[in-house]
Amino acid sequence: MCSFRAAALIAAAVIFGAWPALAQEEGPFRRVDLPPIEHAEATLRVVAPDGTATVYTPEQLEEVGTWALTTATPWEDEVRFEGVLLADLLARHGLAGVGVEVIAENDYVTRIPPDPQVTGALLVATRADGHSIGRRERGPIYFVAPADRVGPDRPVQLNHLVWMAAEIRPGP
Amino acid sequence: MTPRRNRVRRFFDLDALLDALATPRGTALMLSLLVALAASSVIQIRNAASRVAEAEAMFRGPGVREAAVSLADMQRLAQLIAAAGEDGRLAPSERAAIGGALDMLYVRNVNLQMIAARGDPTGGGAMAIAWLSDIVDEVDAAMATADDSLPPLQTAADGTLVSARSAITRWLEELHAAQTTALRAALGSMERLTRIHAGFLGLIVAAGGGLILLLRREVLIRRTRNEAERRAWHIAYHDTLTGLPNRTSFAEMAGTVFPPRPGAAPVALACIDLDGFRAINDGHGQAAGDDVLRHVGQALARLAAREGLFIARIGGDEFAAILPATGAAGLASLGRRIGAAIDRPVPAANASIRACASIGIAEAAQVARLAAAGPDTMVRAAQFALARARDDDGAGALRLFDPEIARAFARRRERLEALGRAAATGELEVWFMPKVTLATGALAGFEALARWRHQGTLVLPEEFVSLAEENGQIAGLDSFMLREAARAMADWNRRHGTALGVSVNLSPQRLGQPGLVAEVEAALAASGLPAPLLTLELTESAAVHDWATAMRLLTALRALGCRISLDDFGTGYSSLAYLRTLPADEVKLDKSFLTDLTEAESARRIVAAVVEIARSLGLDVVAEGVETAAQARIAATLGCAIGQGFRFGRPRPAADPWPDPADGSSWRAEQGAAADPTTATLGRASA
Repeated sequence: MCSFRAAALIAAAVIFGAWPALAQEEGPFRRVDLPPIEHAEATLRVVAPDGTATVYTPEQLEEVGTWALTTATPWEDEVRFEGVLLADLLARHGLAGVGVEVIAENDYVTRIPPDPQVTGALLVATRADGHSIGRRERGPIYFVAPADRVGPDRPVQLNHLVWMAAEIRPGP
Repeated sequence: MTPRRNRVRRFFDLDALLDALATPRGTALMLSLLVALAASSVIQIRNAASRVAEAEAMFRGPGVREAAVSLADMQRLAQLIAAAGEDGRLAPSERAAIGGALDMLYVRNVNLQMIAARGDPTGGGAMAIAWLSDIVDEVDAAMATADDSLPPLQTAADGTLVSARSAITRWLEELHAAQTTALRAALGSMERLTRIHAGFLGLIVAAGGGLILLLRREVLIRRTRNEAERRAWHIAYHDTLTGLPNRTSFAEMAGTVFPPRPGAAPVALACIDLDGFRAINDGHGQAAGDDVLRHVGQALARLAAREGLFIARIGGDEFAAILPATGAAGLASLGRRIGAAIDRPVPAANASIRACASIGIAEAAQVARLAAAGPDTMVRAAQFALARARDDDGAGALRLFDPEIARAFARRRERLEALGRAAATGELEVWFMPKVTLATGALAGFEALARWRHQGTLVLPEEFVSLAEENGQIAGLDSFMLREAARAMADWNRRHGTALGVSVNLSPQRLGQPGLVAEVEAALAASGLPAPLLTLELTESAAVHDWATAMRLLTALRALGCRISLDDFGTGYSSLAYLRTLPADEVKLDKSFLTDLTEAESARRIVAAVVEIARSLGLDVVAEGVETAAQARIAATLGCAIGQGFRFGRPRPAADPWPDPADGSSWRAEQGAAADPTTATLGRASA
C-alpha cells in the first residue's frame, strides 16, 4: 500500500512537473515572454476565409504568443528569432488547413500549402537576437524556419521564407 | 574435316577456350573483368548523374530568382517615383512608399551580393550588384537632401535604373546561357553513357546468347554421352545376337537372387541347352545356327516378358532362367512352357530347322539342403539335372533337381572334393600297361594309366577324368601323372637294366594352358628319364579347336626330345589333315579297328591304308586293343610295329613286381591272368 502511494506520488510529480516544460517546447521552438521594445513601422494584414481582415502591428502580433527559434537562414548565420507561430496565427483566423498566400510589401506572392509540415515549421519573426528587425534586415515581419527543414527536398522551400511580409490571405 | 575447317579449329578451339576459362585462374580473370566492368559502369553513371545535378542546381539556385525579382522591385520604385508629386511636392505617404521600395531593393541587393559571393558561374553578377548599389545610394542621397522636392530624386533614379536593368538583364541572359551549356554537357554525358551501356547491353546479350548456345551444346554432348553410356551398358549386359541379357548380366542378377535372403520368395534356376546345336552348325552352317539362336532368344524374351522371368544367354547354346519356385508341379509346368516356346520350326538359310532344348531346373530350397545355394552351385545343380535329363530321356528332356538327383549331385560333389585332395593323400596311383613289339613279342615300353583308390575301391578313369576336366583339376592330375610316370619308368629301367619308354596321356585342356613344356622338363629332370623315353599322347580331337597353339606346343615338346603320339587315331573328323600337319612320331590306331580286324575285310584294308600312310610319313604305328593272337598276327602282317592290349598284359601298379622283360613269352602268358579285375572292361584306359 505504502509503495503504491509512493509510486502514485512520483508519477504525479513527473506528469505535473513535466507538463509546463512540455508546453514550453514545440519542436525547435521555445515559448518565450518578450519584454516590450520599439518596432519599426509595419503591419501584417490577415484575411480570414470569410473575408474579414485583421491588421496587426508587430506589437499586436506578439500578443498572439511569442516563441523563439535559433537557426541559420540562407541569408544569415545563426540568429535567435522571436515571434509568433504561423500555425497559431492561421488557427486564430480559421486558416488552419487552408492553403494561404503570403504577400510581401513588393506584392510578391508566395503560396503556402495546408501542410502541417510546412505551416508548423514557420515562425513569423518580429525580433532577431533580441531587437526588432529593421526594414533593411528583411523585417520588420520575417518568415523563418529551422534550417534543417528548408531545402529542395524538404517541406519548407526557399520562397516560403517571405521577408517584409505584408498580408496573409486564403489561397485561390 | 576440310583443311579450312582444320585451320579454323586450330585458330579457335572452343573446348580449349572453355577448359582454360574453367580453371581457377580463368574463372578469377572472368570475375575480375566483370567486376571491373561493373565498377567502371557505376563510376560513369555517378559522374553523369552529378553533372545533371550540377545543371539542375544552377536552375534551382536563388540567383536567377533574386535577379528577376529585382527587376520587378526596380520597376516598382520607378513607378512610385514617377507617380509621386503630382503637385510638384513629395507627400509623406509617397516618401514612405518610395522608402519601402528602396528598402526592398536594398535587401535584394544584399541577397544578390551573398549569392554572387557563393559562386557566380558568369561573372556578370558583379556589374548588376554595383548598379543596384548605385541606385540605393543615389536615391537614399536624394531622399536625404531633396526633402520634398522631386527633381533630384527623379534625376537620381532615371539613369541608374536604366543601367541597372540592362546589367541585370544581361546577367540573366548569361545565367541562362550557362545553364543551357551545363545542361547540354550533362545531357551529352548521359548520351555517351547510354551509348556505352547500350554497348554493354549488346555484349551481355551476346554473352547470354553464347551461354545459351554453350548450354545447348553441353546438353547435346551430355545426351550423346548418356546415349553412348546407355548403349555401352546395353552392349555390356546384353547378347548382341539374341538381345537377351548376357552372361555378365546373369552373373549380377544371380548374385542378387542366390542364395535367397530369409523371407524372400522361393526361387529356382533353369538351365536350358539346345539339343544338337553343333549338328545344326555343322550341317546347315553357322548362319543357320545364328538364326536358330535368334529365334530361341526371341521366343525366350517373349516368354520372359509374359511370365515375368529373367532369362539370359550364358553360353553358345546355353540359356539360364531365374524362375519363381511354385513347387515341383509348377516348375515342371513352367519348364514345359519354356520347352514349348523354343520347340518351333525355324526358317533358316534354305531349310526349316526344328529347335529343341533340354532343361534342368533346380529349386534354391532343394539345393540349400546340400550346400549354400550361391549362384555357382545353383548353376551346377541345374546343369547336373540337365545332364541327367539328357542321359535319361535324350533330346527335349526336362528334369527337376529332385531328391534322387540331389543324392547323385552330393556324391559327385563329395568326389570332386576328394579328387582335389587325391594327389596329396596318395589316393592317386600310376599303373603301367605293357606295349610289345609285334614282330618279336619283346617288351617295347608302357602306357602310364591313372588310378584313383577312393574309399577302398578303384574309381574308373572315365568317371574321375571327366570330373577333373569339368572342374579345372585336370592340370593337377596331368602334372601328377607326368611326374610320377617319369619317376616310375626311370625306377623300372634302373631295376631291370632296361631303357624302355613310357607314354603319358595329355588332357586336351592342357594344350591351351601355359607352363606345360616347363612341367615336362621338370619331370624329366627330377626323374632322370631321358626325354626320348617319354611319349606324350594326344587325343585326336584335342587340338582341333586351336591348331596354332597345338602346333607351337608340340614343336616345343619335340624340341625337348620327347615323342608325340596321336591317340585314338581314326575316330576323329580330320585324321589325315592331322597327320600332315602335326609334328608327331607315332599314331595309335583306335581299338575299334582291331575289333573287326579278324572278321571284316574292309577293316583290314583301312588299317593297311592308314599304316601305309603313317609309315610313309615316317611314323610308328601302334595297334591298341590287341586281345587275341590272331589280332596280333594280322596287325603285325599289316605293318603295325607295336601292339598293346590284354593279349600282352593288363594294367598293374607300376611299383608291382613285373616279369623279366627279356622273356617275351611271359608277356603272352599274361593273357587271361586278370591282375586287375576292375580294369577288365576299361578297354582304352587313359589318364
